[in-house]
Amino acid sequence: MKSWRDEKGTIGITLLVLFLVFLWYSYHLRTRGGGATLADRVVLGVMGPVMSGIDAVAQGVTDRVEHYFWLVDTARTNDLLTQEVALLKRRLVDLEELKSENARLNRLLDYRQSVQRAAVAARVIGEDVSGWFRSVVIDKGGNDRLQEGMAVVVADGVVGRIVKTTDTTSQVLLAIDPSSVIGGIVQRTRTRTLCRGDGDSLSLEFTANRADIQPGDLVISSGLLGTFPKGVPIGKVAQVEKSEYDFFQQVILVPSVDFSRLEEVLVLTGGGY
Amino acid sequence: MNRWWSLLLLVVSALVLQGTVFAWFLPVPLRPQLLLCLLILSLPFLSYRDGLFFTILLGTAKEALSASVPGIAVLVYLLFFVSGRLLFRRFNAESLPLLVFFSFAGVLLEGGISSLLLLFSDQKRIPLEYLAAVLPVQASVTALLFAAILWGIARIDRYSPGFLQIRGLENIGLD
Repeated sequence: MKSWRDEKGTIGITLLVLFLVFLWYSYHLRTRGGGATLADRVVLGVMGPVMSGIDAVAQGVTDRVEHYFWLVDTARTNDLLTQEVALLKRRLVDLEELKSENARLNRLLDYRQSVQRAAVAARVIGEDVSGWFRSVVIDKGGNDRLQEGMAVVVADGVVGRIVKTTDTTSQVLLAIDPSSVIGGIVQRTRTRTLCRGDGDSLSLEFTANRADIQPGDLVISSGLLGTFPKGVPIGKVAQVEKSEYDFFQQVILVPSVDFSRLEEVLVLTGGGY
Repeated sequence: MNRWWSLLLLVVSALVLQGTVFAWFLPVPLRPQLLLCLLILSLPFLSYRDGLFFTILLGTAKEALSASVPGIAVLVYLLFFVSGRLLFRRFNAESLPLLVFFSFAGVLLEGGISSLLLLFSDQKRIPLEYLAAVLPVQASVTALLFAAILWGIARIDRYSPGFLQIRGLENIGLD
């Protein structure tokens, strides 16, 4: 390794690079960060197919581990099971997986018909690599007419919105990300509110202390901020904390969607049929 | 294989592991920061200019697969790279515990600096409570994994000397 004295000549370059990157960062603060940069397009263009491939392989492995491996383990304890039975069981597992996927897609299709908006189905192929932002990568992009800002949902409720698109992939900021804000309504009382992500859950912001909100209340999208249609479930109230001296109450929501099990999603592409 | 192709392959592998396998099977706090490990691993082995370029490559790759503000990961990694090079000059850079400590401190610093830089953003933020819950565990997991990687590298180098073609590896006190 060179000594620092030898590297003195590169200090100028370092400072210049730092300055340029800082300008780049502050430019994106001013432009509200919108859209995919050229570097994003290149990296996502390369990583999209790789992630899709890994996704397919991992799904196969997971299916085997979850449905087949344990069956084989049981079979080992039973000498009467023949190879033919194992083969049949494996086929059964494949059929069950197909049935399960079919059921999920059917739910998604039913939901797609019920939302009365043009929609594109997509598969989740990757997650945020940073560890402190919550986003996922889906296998559809500009080629399928997806754009930044479009709403992403599943039959259970709100997933998030698209923040970056390339030709073949898109990045979806999840509703539980701390920078995600969705306009909501408490279904029972029609109280308007804002739902902000907390990393793993959601909380209601600026909800007046006098508003009637109880644990178990369902919060749905209000449709006011434009991204999501009205009435899509966001989450259920899990905890309400009121203080006599606070103007707002603290409300924690459990998301309607299980974000750890996202596989297929719907991107709402149009304002209506 | 050309060194840069090898590094690129490592970056792609780290991104795939971090963006798919770790994300599917591990909860957020238990996901190690592989890209940071690569950055630290490059500190003693790459020349200053190559290291600078590699750092920008790592930061750009991370930003593309993250919902952060563009530029923030590159900026944080560059600050880490420059301070790492300065520290390596002052301390014994050929020490395994120092490299492992760097990975631990690196995760904490990365989270802290990113959080500070995001104070200037009105659209992105990382809540302090979230950071406090996630970072210490993530830093520990990353340090453990990094120690295991270094141990693995040492084994390979001991039984197949020269196989990894990493200049200066023999100087690192990996055993």
